[in-house]
Amino acid sequence: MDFSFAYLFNGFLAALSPLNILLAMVGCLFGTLVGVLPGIGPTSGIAILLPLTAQLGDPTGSIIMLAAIYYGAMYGGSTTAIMVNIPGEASSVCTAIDGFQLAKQGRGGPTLAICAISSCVAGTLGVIGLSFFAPPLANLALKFGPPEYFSLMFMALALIISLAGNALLKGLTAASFGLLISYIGQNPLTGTSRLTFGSLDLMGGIDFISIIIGLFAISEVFVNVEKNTRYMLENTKVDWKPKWAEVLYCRFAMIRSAVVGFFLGLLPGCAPAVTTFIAYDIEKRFSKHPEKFGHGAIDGVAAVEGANNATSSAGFVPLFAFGLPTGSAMAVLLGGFMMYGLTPGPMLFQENPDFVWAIIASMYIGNLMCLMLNLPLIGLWARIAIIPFPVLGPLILIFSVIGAYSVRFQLFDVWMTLVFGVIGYFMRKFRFPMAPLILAVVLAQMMETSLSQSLMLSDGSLNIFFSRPISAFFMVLGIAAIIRGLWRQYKCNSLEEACESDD
Amino acid sequence: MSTSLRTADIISGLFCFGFGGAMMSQALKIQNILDEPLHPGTLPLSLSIILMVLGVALAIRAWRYKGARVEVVWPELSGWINILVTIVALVFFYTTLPTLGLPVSGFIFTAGLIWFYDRRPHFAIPVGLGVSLLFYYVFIKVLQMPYPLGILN
Amino acid sequence: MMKFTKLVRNMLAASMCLMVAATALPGHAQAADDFPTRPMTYMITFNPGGQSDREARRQEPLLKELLGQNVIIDYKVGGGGALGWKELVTSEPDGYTFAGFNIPHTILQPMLQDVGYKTDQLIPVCIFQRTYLGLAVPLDSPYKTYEEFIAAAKKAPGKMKLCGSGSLSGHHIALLSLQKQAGVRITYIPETGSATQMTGFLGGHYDAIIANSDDLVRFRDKARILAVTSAERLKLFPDVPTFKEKNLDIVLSIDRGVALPPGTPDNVVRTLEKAFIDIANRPEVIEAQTREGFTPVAMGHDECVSYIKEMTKFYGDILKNTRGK
Repeated sequence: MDFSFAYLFNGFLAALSPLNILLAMVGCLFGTLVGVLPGIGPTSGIAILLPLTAQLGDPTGSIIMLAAIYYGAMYGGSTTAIMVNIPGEASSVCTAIDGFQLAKQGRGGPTLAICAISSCVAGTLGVIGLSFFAPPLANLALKFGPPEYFSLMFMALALIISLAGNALLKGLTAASFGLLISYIGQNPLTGTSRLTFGSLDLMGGIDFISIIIGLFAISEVFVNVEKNTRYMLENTKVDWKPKWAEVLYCRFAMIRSAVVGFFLGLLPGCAPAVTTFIAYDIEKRFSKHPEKFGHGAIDGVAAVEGANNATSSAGFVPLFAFGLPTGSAMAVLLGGFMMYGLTPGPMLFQENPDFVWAIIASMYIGNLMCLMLNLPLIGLWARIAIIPFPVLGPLILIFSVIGAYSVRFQLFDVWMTLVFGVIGYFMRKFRFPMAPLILAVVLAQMMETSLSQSLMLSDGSLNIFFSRPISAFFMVLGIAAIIRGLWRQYKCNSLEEACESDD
Repeated sequence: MSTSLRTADIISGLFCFGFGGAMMSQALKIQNILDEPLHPGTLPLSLSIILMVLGVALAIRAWRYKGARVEVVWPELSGWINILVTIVALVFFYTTLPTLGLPVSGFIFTAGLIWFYDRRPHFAIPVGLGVSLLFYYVFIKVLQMPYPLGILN
Repeated sequence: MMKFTKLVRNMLAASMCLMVAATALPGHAQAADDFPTRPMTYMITFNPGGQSDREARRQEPLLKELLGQNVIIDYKVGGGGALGWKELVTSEPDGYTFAGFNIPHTILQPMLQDVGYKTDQLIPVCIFQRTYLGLAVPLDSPYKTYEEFIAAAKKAPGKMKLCGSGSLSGHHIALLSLQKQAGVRITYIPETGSATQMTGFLGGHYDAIIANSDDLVRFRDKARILAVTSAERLKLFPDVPTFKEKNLDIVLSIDRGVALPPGTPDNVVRTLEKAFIDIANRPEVIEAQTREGFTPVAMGHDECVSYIKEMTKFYGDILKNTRGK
């Protein structure tokens, strides 16, 4: 699967055929739309269109479209997070923290535009990485075994301290609560039911989309209807063009987040959402204005969205190189390959180079296309703010609830959104930060699984985390972050107010 | 109704203590059938204990807090009624979803709730109908999503 | 055309009402002679795009052709399939709802804990796809043959790490019987699924793996397969010996089929059985399954019932031994 310009050139020729361009465009548009709808993410989007594309009969065109849905959904995911403070997925939770603050300042449109630009820049950098360095990178990614994954998760968990802002105790409480509820249901390794109080419904666990929809979407509606809100944003400018200076201000954020997102996105065992939390935290440390984080930092939003899209490009590296999916969306996409009798892996590059390079070439085109589709759409999304809340509220509720239902098609998940809606309402009132809870939910299972496997590998010794270099590196970073965070909190004894509380 | 953040912290601290306790009772029942190095109950048990400790810490710190009173902003009566009606509407939607089906149930939910918030039918009916038709034709017919059809089946 | 569909829909609505009325009466399991008269739901208990889903998608148009009714694929995902099967056993036993089921999942799950259904509550219609398991090592592994592998495992009990998908799953049970019969001790490390399992294996984090034949086919240029759990050598790996040849009684497989809720009338079971068997025997289906690394099978209802009984005893015995320790 060595790179050659001839292959890439042929790929572009194939990807630029009118039909394939049309399919990529349909995929980008559909992806953006499913990304915008809260709860319906790339996984459901690809799954919805998978059987329909099968009727196309042409594997290249179908996979071009399905891949476009995947990265297109990453473009759309930020929309509701910024405009109405409702992240539809875990990967846009960090977007909502600063994005909604910016929207409240009347800059929702320009923020969306910067997100789209950042997504395009980082997504394209990711595709460049994919086309030139796929084989060595894929081999690097495989070096991550259970101990490395555990240390990475441990380091990510230490981010809770920085995410909690000045409400450390509440952040830790929220995170522990999040970890605990993630352990409800069957243990992913042994299948034994845990913490279910004998309920068979809880046996399947609480799906994290239901948790996100409840905590963000439903409780957001509650806090608006209680005030009889007429409009969610008082400042309802529909102008969306960003200032050139703002784009320039975010240029390093875009590149940094692309690098972080790309490398973490290569790892088949690391959930894509984790990278957005890490990129957000890194950007906070690099930013010229770290004090703005949590109160509308545009570079923070750009970093999250950039990381998100670089991650989605990087996910294709292990998929093409070995046929290994990095997350549920990639697993469905892999299903799409198999439906056509194509098996990703080195063999695919040898046997069907035209196919592989057409897909890769289409991703360059698709990322540009997403940008061109999304910029005009922003004018439309910015108008979400001028829908009166009495109409917008019920629409948010029905689409997000159905989104939560579409993950597993279990009515139980829909009920859980209501439970977490009420919990989220009280968390807002009592000023608990939400982001640590979501991060904990995202990390919980991977952390336990990799810890358990590592201990089996080492026959119960914890040394395994420090004797392997990559793992030791992450452990040290994590421990340093914890010590630093605790030191800062040492003297603070005021009543805590979460940084993201909305009033 | 008025609550200070101090009282709120004590309440949430106690809630976490209680929730942690309930989870602990469950975590203690987890068995290690396969004799694994990491007992499947270890993390749930330690986290439930951590949650209880954090809950107590939160409550105690709030108890000892002597600074200025920070108010938790509660809605007025009409606000509570709005929230209550929203919850009732969601419960209605969830319970009727399997029997009435998404298009019908979704129409009643959307139209009903918009009418309740807005007090006028001129948004409620068209928007409700639009949502219902969108789910029926686009999601169920074209995209073949397996949403419940209920009586339309 | 529009009018006609409307008419059909009204008739369906009317018949629904009648059926609801009929179910309210005692002894409602009336055998519908003209089954099927309306669209059927094919429940998939795993994620869209997964193997079960892909097999169902392959069958869907053929089922429509044979039965003359639409088949809607519905997902009920969670609990390793248990949530869907739990729902199946409580759904109306009229043949209009059936679900994909997997062996040994539906045997092992109820054996280990209360999952809301029992193995014998699922009425098997047909088993149409089989995956044998293979024991494999990385290509750069020092063990070239099954004998070398076992000899090394004997030398260092518990030191060798083998990975499979899930605890007390088909993979784990295969290792447990290997340990017992070959007199070795190997540490089993579960992964959460076949994708993560292959990731760990390719990264060289494990000494060996027990995996499904379809996964091994995909990675055949990265793995050396030492033995397979089929009764006879697999066409895909003609050079790989079976455990049977090594004088071990390990013949087990992961099977996929469809099942109905308990109490479904016999003629309905037979109608569906006929359709599924017909599909399973089609050359294009057999060809596609073989290419993907599966072993095509076509077991009807009666054959399935006795097969499940046999396997239940087999798995039960192994579990008893494990837990007795």
